[in-house]
Amino acid sequence: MEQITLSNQIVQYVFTGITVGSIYALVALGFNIIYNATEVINLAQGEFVMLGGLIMVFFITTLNLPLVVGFILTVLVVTAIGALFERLAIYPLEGASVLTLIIITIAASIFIQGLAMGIWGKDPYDLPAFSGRTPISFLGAMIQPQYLWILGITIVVVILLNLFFGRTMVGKAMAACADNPEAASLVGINVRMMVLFSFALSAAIGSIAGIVITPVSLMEFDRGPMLAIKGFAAAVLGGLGSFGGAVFAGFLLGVIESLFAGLVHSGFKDAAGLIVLLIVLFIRPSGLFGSTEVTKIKKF
Amino acid sequence: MKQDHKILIFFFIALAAFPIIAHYIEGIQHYIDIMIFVGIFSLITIGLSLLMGYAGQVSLGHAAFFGIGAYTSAVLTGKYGFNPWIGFLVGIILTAAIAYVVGIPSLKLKGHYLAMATLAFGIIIFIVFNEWDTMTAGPSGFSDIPGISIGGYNLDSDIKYYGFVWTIVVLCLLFSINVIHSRIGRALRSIHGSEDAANAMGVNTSKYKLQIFVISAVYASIAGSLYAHYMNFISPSSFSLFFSIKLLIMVILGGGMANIWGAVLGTWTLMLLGAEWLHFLEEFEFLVYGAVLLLMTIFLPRGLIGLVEFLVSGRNKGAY
Amino acid sequence: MGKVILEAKSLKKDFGGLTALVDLTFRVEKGQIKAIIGPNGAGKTTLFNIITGMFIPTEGEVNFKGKTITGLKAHEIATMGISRTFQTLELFMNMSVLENVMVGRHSRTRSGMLRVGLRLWGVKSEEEEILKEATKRLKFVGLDKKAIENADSLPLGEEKLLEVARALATDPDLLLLDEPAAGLNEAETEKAAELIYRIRDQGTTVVLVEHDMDLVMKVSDDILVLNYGRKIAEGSPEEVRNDQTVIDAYLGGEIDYA
Repeated sequence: MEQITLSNQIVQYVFTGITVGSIYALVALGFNIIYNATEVINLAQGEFVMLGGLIMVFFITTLNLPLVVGFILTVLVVTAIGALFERLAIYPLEGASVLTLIIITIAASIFIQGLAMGIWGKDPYDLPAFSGRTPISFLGAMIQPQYLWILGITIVVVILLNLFFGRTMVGKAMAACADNPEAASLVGINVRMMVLFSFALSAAIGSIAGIVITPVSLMEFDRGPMLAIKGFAAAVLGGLGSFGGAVFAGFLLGVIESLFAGLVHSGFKDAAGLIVLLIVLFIRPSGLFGSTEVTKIKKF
Repeated sequence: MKQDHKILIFFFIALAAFPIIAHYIEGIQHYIDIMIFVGIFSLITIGLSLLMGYAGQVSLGHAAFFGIGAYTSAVLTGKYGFNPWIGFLVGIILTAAIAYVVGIPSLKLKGHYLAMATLAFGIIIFIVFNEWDTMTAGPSGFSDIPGISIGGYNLDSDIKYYGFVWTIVVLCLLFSINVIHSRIGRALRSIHGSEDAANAMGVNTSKYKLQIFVISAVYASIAGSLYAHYMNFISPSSFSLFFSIKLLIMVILGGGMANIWGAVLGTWTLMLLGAEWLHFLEEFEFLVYGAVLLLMTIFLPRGLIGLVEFLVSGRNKGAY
Repeated sequence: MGKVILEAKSLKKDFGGLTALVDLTFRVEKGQIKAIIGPNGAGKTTLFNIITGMFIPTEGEVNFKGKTITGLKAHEIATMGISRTFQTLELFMNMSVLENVMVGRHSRTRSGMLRVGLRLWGVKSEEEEILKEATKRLKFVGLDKKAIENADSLPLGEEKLLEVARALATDPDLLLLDEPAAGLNEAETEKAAELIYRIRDQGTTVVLVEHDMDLVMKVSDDILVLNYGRKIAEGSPEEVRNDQTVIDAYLGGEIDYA
């Protein structure tokens, strides 16, 4: 039998960390997209992930649809929910104070959790892994094939987002709004539409995260808040508004959490990410890749 | 004497009258029990009203301070046999110290950053309650917490505890009302109005934000100790993120964001709702609370007190 | 030459890539009314923010009544005797007119949290004094009839008066007015000028940032002209009005001599 050395363990934890970190990266990207368009921090971001997982369960397990069909339908449904959320809860409160917005997104988070609990109950649900569960040996660690799916899909999402914001008209319009809403509307960009799109896009990304992670860690109705907080931690660590920062910080956070859980104490695993968040907020709120001057001037 | 002082006197009379009336009316006897919880939770929401409504800050982690008070009392009296008063005192000191240390870097933050920092702090403390089981007995909870006696007089009935809790609440209300109607109260409100202008007028905003944060934490700690000695059993689930959110809902529902009486009103309303209609709808807690919060924020930002003000004065004031 | 109450030495302020002030040196004499003018973006409000402690200069220092105040916190500087109004109006909209001014008395009073909470000795008389002083300032600017109104119910002109009353309540030796005439019509601007004279007459030095050239030329003893963060002229209204660099700087800008 193979000896499980410390270095093997560490490789294992790093892979788990990168996998979990992918989810944090995706959630962080969702935060950034909305934040860039509206300066709102959407505390209900985690609910999109949760809905992604549970709605996929509905399509795949209850309706027995094929994987790809279910995937696409789930993303569409959650995207629609994101858009609906923007229209119902955000749009009417344009110009409201930061505190009001915080409370609204918290309220939405609780409400959506309530709906989910009503529909799916409190039990965790599983999804079949995309390509089976036979572990693959890699660098001395055994990884689930689903890990590779998660990592791969995350990378694809990041690339597509880059192309979207860099090359498409809509994407560039959204980026312009983020930078300077007044100028953007002066050149004819419908800023309100862009806000709607940003919520829809964030919901889409969140749902993808939920779909890919459920085969690994199951999904239940109240998973949202912890994911949101850690995703936020990643977004802040990377520098609020920076996409590259969010991705890097997401992976970093996942690895830190995984190593901490494995090598130090698994019960305090969640605390690791939270402590990172507090350290960033207290010492360098602009994060790794944000601008300190901008952070000082921005009114949160 | 300000209007708030007058309201306090009426409130005190009503509180004193209630158990006497309840003594004669079978149907509302069990409300004494609910009113004890209203009193305990009101202590926390009054502090939150000062912090959030008057000083304009935000805390999504106040359940942590509630829990620190509760566990300190539980451990010192249940595990080490100290006098409950020692438990209260140490709870207050410990909570104040933690609030001070956490408050200094946190209150430099604003808006979302402050909200998330308090949120993270609250969850970290919750995790500590769960994991540090050698001290807190972990998720299964800490039982056999003794009751309180004042100089030999045992607070062993609901009515006695009701009197004890509400005496403390009224005293805290008095203190808070005095602060509100003073230069300190105006300083706090000026921070909410415009922190830059407040500083420019000589208000040391950092100092006052920290002071009111610590005070609100201390109120929560006292509430926690009261809770522990009443329930004789506590577990981490009472100090979760969801409870912090419930506290927020109580404050906002009642209108504690604009008026300290709103905090008490909101606490009372939510507890009553919980007792009357939701105990068989516990499943729908999330749904109802979420909906309430959404609707209140959009349509009635000044809460139930705002509604009362509107009906009384006919004017519709804006949101805070 | 009178006594110097405020002195700026070689002030420089960078914001990341943007330089707002460069090598700015000037003095304000006690009892003066001094104006700071310049095209938009010349760094005037940044200068006020540095003097009052809201910003820290990248280089240079500010001295007030002989003491260095660079690096001090805003509330400390306010307590030392500098007060201000804001270009973008930073009233306490959640409070009444009177309460706004009462906050101005904060640095001149002392009861702490514990004393007020327990209503200890001295609190009541201090509160009466605050009320009296605040009412006096409201009368000074002519807003005493609106004392119990909420601050957000005032029209613009009165909002600006309220900010002045509030600032005066701190008993400042130096009052900084940031665009006091912005948004005011001719009659209101005339009253603003009168108010500025009365403030100076009761012993407070006044520095104002202003775009309304009529007002500037009328009330100022001395004018400092900034452009792109640099001093390009300083002197009496006559000298500044005829200074070629000043005229050039404003060419195409919004200088309004009408």
